[in-house]
Amino acid sequence: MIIQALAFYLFAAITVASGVMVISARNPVHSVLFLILAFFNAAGLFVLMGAEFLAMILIVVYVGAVAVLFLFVVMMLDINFTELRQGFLQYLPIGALVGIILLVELIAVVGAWVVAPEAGLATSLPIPPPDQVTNTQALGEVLYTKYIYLFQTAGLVLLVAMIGAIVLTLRQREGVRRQNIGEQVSREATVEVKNVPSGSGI
Amino acid sequence: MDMNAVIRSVIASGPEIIVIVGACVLLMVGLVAEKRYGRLLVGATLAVVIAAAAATFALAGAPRTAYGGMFVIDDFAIFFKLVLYLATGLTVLMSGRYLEEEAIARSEYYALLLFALSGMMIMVSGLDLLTIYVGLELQSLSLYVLTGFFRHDPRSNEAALKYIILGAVSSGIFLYGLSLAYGLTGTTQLTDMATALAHGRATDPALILATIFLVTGLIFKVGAVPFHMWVPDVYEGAPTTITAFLSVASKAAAFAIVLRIFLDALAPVTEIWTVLVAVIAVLTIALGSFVALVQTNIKRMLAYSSIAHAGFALLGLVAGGPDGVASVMLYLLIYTFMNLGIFGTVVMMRKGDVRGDMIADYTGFAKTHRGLALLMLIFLFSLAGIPPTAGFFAKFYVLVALINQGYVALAVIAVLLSAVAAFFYIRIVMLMYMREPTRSFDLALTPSLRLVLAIAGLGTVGIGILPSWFLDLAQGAILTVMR
Amino acid sequence: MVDWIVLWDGYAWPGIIIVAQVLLIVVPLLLAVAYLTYAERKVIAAMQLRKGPNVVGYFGLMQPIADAVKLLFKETILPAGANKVVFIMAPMLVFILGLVGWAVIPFDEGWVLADINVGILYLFAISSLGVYGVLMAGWASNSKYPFLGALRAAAQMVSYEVSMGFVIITVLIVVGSLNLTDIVLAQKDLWFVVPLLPMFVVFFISTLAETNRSPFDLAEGESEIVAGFFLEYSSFTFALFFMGEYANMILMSAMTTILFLGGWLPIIDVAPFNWIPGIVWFAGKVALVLFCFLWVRATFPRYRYDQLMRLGWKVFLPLSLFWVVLTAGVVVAFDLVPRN
Repeated sequence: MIIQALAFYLFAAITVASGVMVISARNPVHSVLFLILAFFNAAGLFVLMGAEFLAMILIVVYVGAVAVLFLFVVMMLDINFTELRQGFLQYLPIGALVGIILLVELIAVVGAWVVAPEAGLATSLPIPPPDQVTNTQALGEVLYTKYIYLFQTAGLVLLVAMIGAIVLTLRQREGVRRQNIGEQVSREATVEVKNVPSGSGI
Repeated sequence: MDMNAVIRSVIASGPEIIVIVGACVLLMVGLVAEKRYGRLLVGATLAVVIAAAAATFALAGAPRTAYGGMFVIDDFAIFFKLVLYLATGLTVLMSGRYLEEEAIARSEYYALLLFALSGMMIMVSGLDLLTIYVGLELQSLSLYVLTGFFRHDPRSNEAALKYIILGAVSSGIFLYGLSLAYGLTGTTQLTDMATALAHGRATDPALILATIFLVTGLIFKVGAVPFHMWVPDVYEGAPTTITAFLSVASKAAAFAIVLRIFLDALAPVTEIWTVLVAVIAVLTIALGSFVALVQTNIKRMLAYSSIAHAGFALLGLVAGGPDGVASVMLYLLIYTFMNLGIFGTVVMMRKGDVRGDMIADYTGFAKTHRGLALLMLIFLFSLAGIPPTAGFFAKFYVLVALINQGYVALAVIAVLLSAVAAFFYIRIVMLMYMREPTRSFDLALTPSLRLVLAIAGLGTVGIGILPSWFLDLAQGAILTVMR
Repeated sequence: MVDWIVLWDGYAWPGIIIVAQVLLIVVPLLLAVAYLTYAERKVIAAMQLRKGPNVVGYFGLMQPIADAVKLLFKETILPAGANKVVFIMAPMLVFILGLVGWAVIPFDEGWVLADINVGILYLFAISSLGVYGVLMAGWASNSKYPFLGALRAAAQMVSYEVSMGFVIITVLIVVGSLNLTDIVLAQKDLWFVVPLLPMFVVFFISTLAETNRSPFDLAEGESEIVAGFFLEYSSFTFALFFMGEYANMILMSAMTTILFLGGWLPIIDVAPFNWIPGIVWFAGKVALVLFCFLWVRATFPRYRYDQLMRLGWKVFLPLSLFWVVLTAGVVVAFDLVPRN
């Protein structure tokens, strides 16, 4: 158990620290790299909780794909961040005020928090005990039965996002020479086979 | 779920499935038939909408739930779905020529419109906060893209960007409220949530916080003060047909979930939100009415007008009870007809180099086009709430519900503010009838646009003549829990 | 004193064992990496009718050692404009990622460092991280060509990961488990290369792209962008990149072996074949796949960038998606759904 606890504090501390670095790093590329580190440690926390499937999916999807594109874009941006930050301090008092008010409100709320006694029952029902089925199987069993409607609709949301991205950005530019392999390989259009009578030439 | 439950669920969500499959087929058809067959796309979209409507009618009857209580088909959902089909159908009919005039005739337009429709249908049929949220995202995402459909117009880009950023923030707030509510009740299912809340303390600060977050997220979607800032910019920048669609369909779907969430799940904690919503409603009507006075762009003016109307409909929610709900539902039906009608006249002005979205463009319109001007007059009078048009009865029933519940002061304020609102509608009438034309009118009137105007005009006048029949229709379709 | 026993039995001794196991995997792996470079030069030389390395030691066998020593003793050059920390971290990341994947590889039944439930996902995750080393190197070098190389590599690896993911899903549908040992044992009767042959081909080509190997080595592209992302690297930082790339190749070959070629299982389970220990079978199969890597390099010219993207998105993605649906359909239709 000591090792689990140590690992937890290690992962948690790095997650929080890199989260802080994401917003405080001067260089945007460093910010993204710290974000990736935060994802990575969050995945570690998932593993500690026994949710190994979620941990791996977090890495595959967020670190392996989303953050790569993030990094890709941020690297190509040419932003002068010192210039952007110039007006920053000007709004600090207002921002701080709003933040403090929200914080006080949240503390007031959390201080009087009452969790409904039946809340725990309702949530723990669909999850089978971890020693009987693996994490992956347990997820699949609720995702494709109980929540199939939400699952499908969420898929539609992604489809619409994809269509939208294509609709808004795809442009047919003039003067782009595209390779048409079919045309290139096909012999009908370019090669003509003639039956040459022997002895006479074409 | 056993096989029978699966089949029952699939049948219950038949209309949604029809619309979604239709949208996917349209996407593929569009790849082949993009340029030449604009009409084919309009026809196909209409066919999908009509098929879905037929399926919805076939499913009418006793309320039934599906997908483990996440989805419901009741009279309330069916009423709203019919309003949505009407709005979508009329929007599609308006679009064909307009898209060609704006050179944005692409098949994805219709597919996205259908996806937005399916999202709204999922919203109005949602009996679970998660379903409602996912439906909301589906419709919002489609509408963000449609708003930015003029890719080369900075106004459209700006509109889409503002819409998506503010929409994402409001979705986040709504989701936060949802998670708090889940934490308090242990469920996201609306009816179960109401049961759980009935046992708890109504003054629990976490509950107040959750309610405020839910109100905030939903208020944004209906475009009420103080989350109305996106409305004018989005309405102005978006293609006019999409503005029309946004103003009626999106609003109707948003009100459907507002009614369902507040009067079903949050019914036990009415005292938390009633005052909040009442204040919001009054402020919304006031702001919409006063700011609309100074607008020169007709789309912006109609945006503020729609803010004011949203405030009026919210008053129906404050009244609550069967009468209040029925009045909101009737309000939205009537608003669909009259607002689509007025947007139809804005669409027809767009031809060639004429944008036709300034109020001044209508100067002297009545001198040359008497019939169309009369139609516009009817729509504007209806929006202003002048009897005997339908718009009058829309406001009338809301006020009746308010007074029955004892909110006399609110009713008086609402009447006074709608007198202010009448001014800017009648200003356009005056421009059309009292001034000499400064230019010749070249209208993009197609048979389908004429049909839209005819249907909208018929609806506006018809409900004005037979208001009680339509009120009965709405009263027959109120939420099951209110009966 | 009791505490000391607990500490020893509970932590120190298992720790020592784990370290020993790690060494047992890493040391042969590094040797394999070294001799893979030698094999590559020899194989390609043979295919091009040359002799290849033959000076250092018998048959040039000491050549990799000589190369390593040379790289070790050279000076590490840090470009003045480089982002130092990221610049140094990039090759270390590539090298470490080439090693950590081996934690879940089963060399024989039960011969695995960490027999985790989601082994295949772990491998997939590790392979998808490889792109960071390249991106960081390209960016931190603060130079044109490395940056171009990094951008190419990022787009390429993200693209081919998609179809690789679908191939893995196809295998998972047939096996019904994400555990690598289960995947191998499911091939007891028939290696998956037979029923899933198209997926095997897609997977093999995707691993070529994923490891930035020829004919998809556009990220290096010495004829157009000089050496791509590791242009500014020298001495041991360069060696780390090099070793990382080859360790990755071996890891990918091991993955191919496990997914399609039956891991440590003999070709048929009869007398002379099942006398040979599983680890030998495993190593032999990995060597075979590696040979294909080298063979491809000696045979094909480099792809153009648009061709690479077309192959990934327009050919492999639809094909693998179709096979996922087909496999799932067949599995359900003939009631072959694996239950465990």
